[in-house]
Amino acid sequence: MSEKAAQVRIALRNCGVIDPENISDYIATDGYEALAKALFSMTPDEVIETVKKSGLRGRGGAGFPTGIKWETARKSQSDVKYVLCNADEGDPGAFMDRSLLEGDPHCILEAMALCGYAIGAQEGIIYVRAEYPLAVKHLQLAIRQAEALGLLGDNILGGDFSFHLSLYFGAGAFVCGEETSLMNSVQGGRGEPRIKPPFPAVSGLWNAPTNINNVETYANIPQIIRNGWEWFRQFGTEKSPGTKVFALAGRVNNVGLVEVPMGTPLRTIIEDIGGGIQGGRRCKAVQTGGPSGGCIPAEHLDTPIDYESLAGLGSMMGSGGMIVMDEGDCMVGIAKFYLTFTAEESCGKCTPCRIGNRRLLEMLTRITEGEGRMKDLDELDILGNIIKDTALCGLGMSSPNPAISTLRFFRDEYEAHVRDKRCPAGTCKKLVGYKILEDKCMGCTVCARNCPVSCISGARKKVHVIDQKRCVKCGVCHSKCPFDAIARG
Amino acid sequence: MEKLTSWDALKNYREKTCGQTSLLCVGEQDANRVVLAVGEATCGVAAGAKKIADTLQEEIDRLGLKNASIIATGCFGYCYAEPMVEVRMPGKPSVYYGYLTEEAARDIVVKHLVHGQLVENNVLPVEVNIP
Amino acid sequence: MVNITINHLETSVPEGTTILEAAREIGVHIPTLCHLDLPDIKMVNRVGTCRVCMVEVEGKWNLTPACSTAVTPGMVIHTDTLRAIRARRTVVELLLSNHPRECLTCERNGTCELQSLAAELGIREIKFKGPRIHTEKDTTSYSIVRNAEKCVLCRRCETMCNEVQTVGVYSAVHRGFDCLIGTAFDLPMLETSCTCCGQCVSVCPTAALTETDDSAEVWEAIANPDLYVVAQTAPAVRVTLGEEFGLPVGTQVTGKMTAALRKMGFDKVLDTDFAADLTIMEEASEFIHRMKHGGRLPILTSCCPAWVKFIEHQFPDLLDIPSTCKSPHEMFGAIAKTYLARKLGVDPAKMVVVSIMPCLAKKFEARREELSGHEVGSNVDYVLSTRELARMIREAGIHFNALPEEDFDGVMGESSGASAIFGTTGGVIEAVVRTAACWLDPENPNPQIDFQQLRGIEGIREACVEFAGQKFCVAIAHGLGNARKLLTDIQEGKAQYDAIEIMACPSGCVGGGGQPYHGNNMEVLTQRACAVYNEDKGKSVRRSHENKEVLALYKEFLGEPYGEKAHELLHTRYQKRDQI
Repeated sequence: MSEKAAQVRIALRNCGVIDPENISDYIATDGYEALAKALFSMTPDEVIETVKKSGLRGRGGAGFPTGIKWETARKSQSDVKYVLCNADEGDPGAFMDRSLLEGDPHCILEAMALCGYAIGAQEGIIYVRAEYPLAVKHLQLAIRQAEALGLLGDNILGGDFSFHLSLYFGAGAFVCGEETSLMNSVQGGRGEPRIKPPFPAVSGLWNAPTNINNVETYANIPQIIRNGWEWFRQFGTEKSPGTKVFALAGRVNNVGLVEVPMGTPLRTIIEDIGGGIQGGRRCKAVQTGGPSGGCIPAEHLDTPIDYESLAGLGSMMGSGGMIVMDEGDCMVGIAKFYLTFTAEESCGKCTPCRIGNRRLLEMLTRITEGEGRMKDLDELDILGNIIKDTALCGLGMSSPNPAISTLRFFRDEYEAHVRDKRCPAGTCKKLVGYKILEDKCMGCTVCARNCPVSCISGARKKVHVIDQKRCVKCGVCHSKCPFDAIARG
Repeated sequence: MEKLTSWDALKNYREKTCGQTSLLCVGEQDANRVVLAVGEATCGVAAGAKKIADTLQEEIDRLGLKNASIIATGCFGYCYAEPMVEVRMPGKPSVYYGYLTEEAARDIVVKHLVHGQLVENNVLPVEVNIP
Repeated sequence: MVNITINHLETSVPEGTTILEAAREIGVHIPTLCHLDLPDIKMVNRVGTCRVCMVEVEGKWNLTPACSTAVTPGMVIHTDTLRAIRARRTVVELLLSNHPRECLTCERNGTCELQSLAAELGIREIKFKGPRIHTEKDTTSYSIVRNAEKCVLCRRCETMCNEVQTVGVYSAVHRGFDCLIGTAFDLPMLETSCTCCGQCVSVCPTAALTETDDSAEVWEAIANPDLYVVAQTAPAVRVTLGEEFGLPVGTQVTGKMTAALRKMGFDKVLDTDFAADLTIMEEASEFIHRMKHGGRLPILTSCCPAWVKFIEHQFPDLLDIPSTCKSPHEMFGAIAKTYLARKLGVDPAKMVVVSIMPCLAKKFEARREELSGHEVGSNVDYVLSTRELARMIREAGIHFNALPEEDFDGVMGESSGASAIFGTTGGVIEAVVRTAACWLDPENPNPQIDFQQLRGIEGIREACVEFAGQKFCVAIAHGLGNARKLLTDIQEGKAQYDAIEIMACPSGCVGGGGQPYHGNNMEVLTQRACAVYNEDKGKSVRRSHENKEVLALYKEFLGEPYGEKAHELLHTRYQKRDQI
């Protein structure tokens, strides 16, 4: 399949097309047309009906139907309601939201105004990471421009609807991407999740009904309103209509931001769009959903991407991080990497996430250091599932996924670490050693000269020796040896 | 800027300003206009897009190309090929260049803008499906 | 009503009921830890942090916290499935894996909620190995010891301090495994706005928050033959101490307590109630003085040291309205080291006054600079809480329940019913009113004694009393959040009162931070208050100004109430403090 057919840009349609600092560019691509259409030819209920029928689901990860969220917020009785945009993108390696905000800020403003009209809110807040200075700058500029043209603020386009937007800067806590933590943070409190229910659509920011969606979700809205729900449904699958943006990273040749229709097989993304694995090696697994997701092994690469299929494989759509791994990646190490992240980013409010994730991490660390017992593998699975079962918020409920999914699909690799004290990928330092093969060594001195801790000795044209006590297992000798005379094991 | 107070006002605004945007809309009067869109999202900037934009501008100024302008656009999505520039000319399909160096940037201005030749080494086979 | 099924039992409960409440209703027990619901004092801790009360709800992919989930129509709940039980156990094991597990030497051995939970779930082994969190104990406060290592992050202290008391000392700090409950800027407790009310200690399920322990120093003093050690006991101690020895809540143990103190070796066993009567003499005089001389009204009672510290931090512009009267036990100390010492022929410098109080803030109060008498050091040398006294009685091997009933020693041992009711909310102001009614209307042959309108448990109460043809408007608040509301109204000129009583602890001293743990049962506080009123009823003298020993004290030593000598010994001053 050619790349032409593979990528369909709905959310990203203006990224890399318009000048994001110029509102005329956005208007030239029919920007704010959807807002005008809604304000002057649709009732709020019709807007919600359109979003519902489009089947759009939350692009932040969980995939909750957006229209139903809006409908609940609309039905909640209150004088004050809020529209929030979750732009606290925190998954390692994910940058979909940043690109959208930087490349097409007006699209988000328009969508939030549409949402405000639909649910009956007059105030919106974009919660954006302070670490995204360019996104912040473009958003601020866009808000000023839209206000100057009467597309935001009081009496939009001369009508009765008023909507005011402001920014709130996140300080980099991963958990603030969880919607209720985000609201606590906006209220000046500690970034900690609240118990749900009540859901934000009933009682959210300052206890007022609040609609909160992710950046990419909003990015789809203006086009759904402008082109109709039937138009949107021609893309994607029955249960997951539309497209999804992924930040493609890892061992593929062409890393970048891709947008594909839902239902596209993983293989298309990796082989056609991503240009295959670097160095012609073999794909081993694909990690989707960031720290909340799981690792999908290569044999499942033909799985179509949609919310249910990914969940069925113990992973999740997540916000759209996609990291491709090859044989040089240790799956235990990957699980440990993600768990290190979530254990550190846990807010500490509930027991399973605060202590449970730490204990999981300790088990994984023991395994990667060759101190694991076979019993640990079962306990890892049991504890991981109990954390999923009992944690308070989405962060905790999904944090064991990387460990559980790698254990499920790569149990042999775990067993190699535990039983044979061996890391098949050769990346767990404590389980790796380097040895010079006497029959292959030519005494060229390349290894000795490149060793950063000078622990290789030997005369010219004589067999060299590694001082194992001083070796830091960096692997430089292994990669530099021109004669493949250094064995790793 | 005056506030738009009706749906028609929005439509009028679009028609009025469309020709001045970087999009080379239908109805473009100046058939010679060239727009160089440099990917200056964070990813592009990190890869050196600012320097490329400066180089392009210097070269345009040096050659006195009055019809050419540079805009900063968002992320093209091809991180592996950053920095990137898209050359837009009315009535012609866009040409995308990637893996840009300052030298390549100067080549693009001289060869593509002045002589209408592609800078083959840097052309990226990009076609974007925007429904 | 909502129809639900719990463990195959069908039941119907009102809308808004939580799964936990519904289960309790039909006798299904679900263990909890962080959960604490004391609606009477608006203390609702439904944060759902501990995840002990997890149950299975059909149709949900994960488990549900029973304490914080309202039932929905048709909900089918299972509390006893293997999955739920195993999850609960694991959660408690995880908590224990990060807990010091030094139960044998722990202050809360036997009263710890985590300990009983582990026992209830039958936990015999903690699978999870791994390091525990390490922090320094904060022992800077004179009242409260903070040991974050024993904290289970139930957040009860935070809810109590921030929402009920509106003091705001505690907040969760740091993230993940390092998360703990800390103070602003990690300040030592002594430097915060903590009022030392000790309500956080009352609700802490473990020994993360405990009272400072002064028992060792008191034993030393008792054993020292050169020292003359005087014990005084607060009104609210005698109605709660019995709980520590298994007696029914509300049992009055004045006689046994007196006997126990003698057995422990105190040289004199006296009564703070005596000083409470003295306080009324001064406070009623001050009230009438302010009224007659156009002084500032309302007058605020000043018996509660946590409340005094609160106003110093939070309302420094209102420091001219509290009465200047010292709290009763401080008055007692001042009189003991002057009048009593002279009477007994004891060198005041060798006299040690030990207050046995329901209160932790009194430990702080005893260390206030301005309450150290000029001649003889502190008015009060040591303050013991009810809990500490109980521990000492047990430590001394005294069989409390078998003790005979004994009386207080003389000179400062007599008390009226008015002083007894100091122990509960509304009591102090009723005692003032009883005396003021007589003084302002000397012609009335039958002045009122019981002022029912001043009693009750609502957080803020207002009442008007009439005597001598004059109407007096009185307000009562207990709990510092209620006090804040009242003070804000006064500050903004919205409320006009003649006199106000404020007690920092919900229900007043019977609910004090140093009292036996109420087991999260507010009924206990009501029964204690009942016992206080019963004691009042049983007294032959029920007005403070009729206490013969108090009258003798004025005649022999102090002169006039609110006079010069009284000012020197019985009144104090307040200072502005920072709000942190």
